[in-house]
Amino acid sequence: MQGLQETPSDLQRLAQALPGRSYRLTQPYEVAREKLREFASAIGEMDPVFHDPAVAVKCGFRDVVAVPTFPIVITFKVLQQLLADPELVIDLRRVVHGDQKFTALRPLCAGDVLGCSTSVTQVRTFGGSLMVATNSELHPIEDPKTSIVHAEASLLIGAQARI
Amino acid sequence: MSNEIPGVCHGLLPGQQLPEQTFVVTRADLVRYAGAAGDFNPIHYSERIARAAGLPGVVAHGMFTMALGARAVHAWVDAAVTVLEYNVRFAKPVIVPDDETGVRVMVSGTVKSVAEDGSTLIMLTVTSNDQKVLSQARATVRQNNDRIHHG
Repeated sequence: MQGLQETPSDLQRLAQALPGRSYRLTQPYEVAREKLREFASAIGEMDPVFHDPAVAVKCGFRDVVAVPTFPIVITFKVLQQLLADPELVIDLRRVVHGDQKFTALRPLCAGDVLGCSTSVTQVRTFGGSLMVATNSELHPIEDPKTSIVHAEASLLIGAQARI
Repeated sequence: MSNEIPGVCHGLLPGQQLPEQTFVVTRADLVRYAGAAGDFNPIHYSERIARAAGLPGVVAHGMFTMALGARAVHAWVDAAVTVLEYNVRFAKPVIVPDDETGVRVMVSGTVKSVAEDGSTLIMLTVTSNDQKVLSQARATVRQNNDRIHHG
């Protein structure tokens, strides 16, 4: 595993380079019914509220509603910019997802057109690896100040796989 | 019934135990999830790369396991519910064997509290092969108000 390990100086360099970094979606994300259905099906969630607009409306939603973890599809696109940032040079084989939180200010539904901005909020050393906390805000494309979903993800860089 | 008091989820009461939900995860599920999520980290489909990363074998996406937790929550409440908050810590990977049987992920829950507006906090226990794979897993849900459209 020697070849995969970040050296302490790599981690030190990242610890200095990461704080305050921010990234955003370059294109608006259009939430499509078919994508919501595809994602729901991929996790085995076949309840019609996630597939059928008529049922979703009957349940009080504007249209087919996203399953709670769907926002990761969008925030992951932005996190990938961070992980691929040429100024950072992060070894992807040593990145572990530490924790994840979603806060929905309203449900995400088909027809939403979203922007997403992600920033690094905290970096600390954590037993030979770096714990990088990120915040992502999903907002209507026309209104960057109004969050629809707030997502927090922490990544462990340089971590050993936890078995 | 749940319409009498806006916000109350299916009459869930504090302390109530929610019936265990079992999900089976196979390699095919991981491939399908990778495509839907756009997460093509090879530790989720290549034994060789998973082992090189120090894992005992191919592991499920943490986000897939988290999604199964949300499926359990959805099974405990009704469809007219919004998950306001959902968070987990990825404690251990779910190891998925290369066979048709796959691995089982079990999710059970306890109602921790019900707020005045009906927001209901559910604590989740998510295990696979007798190990906790998610820790500090909790979801807050609230019944949609019939009179307004959400989203």
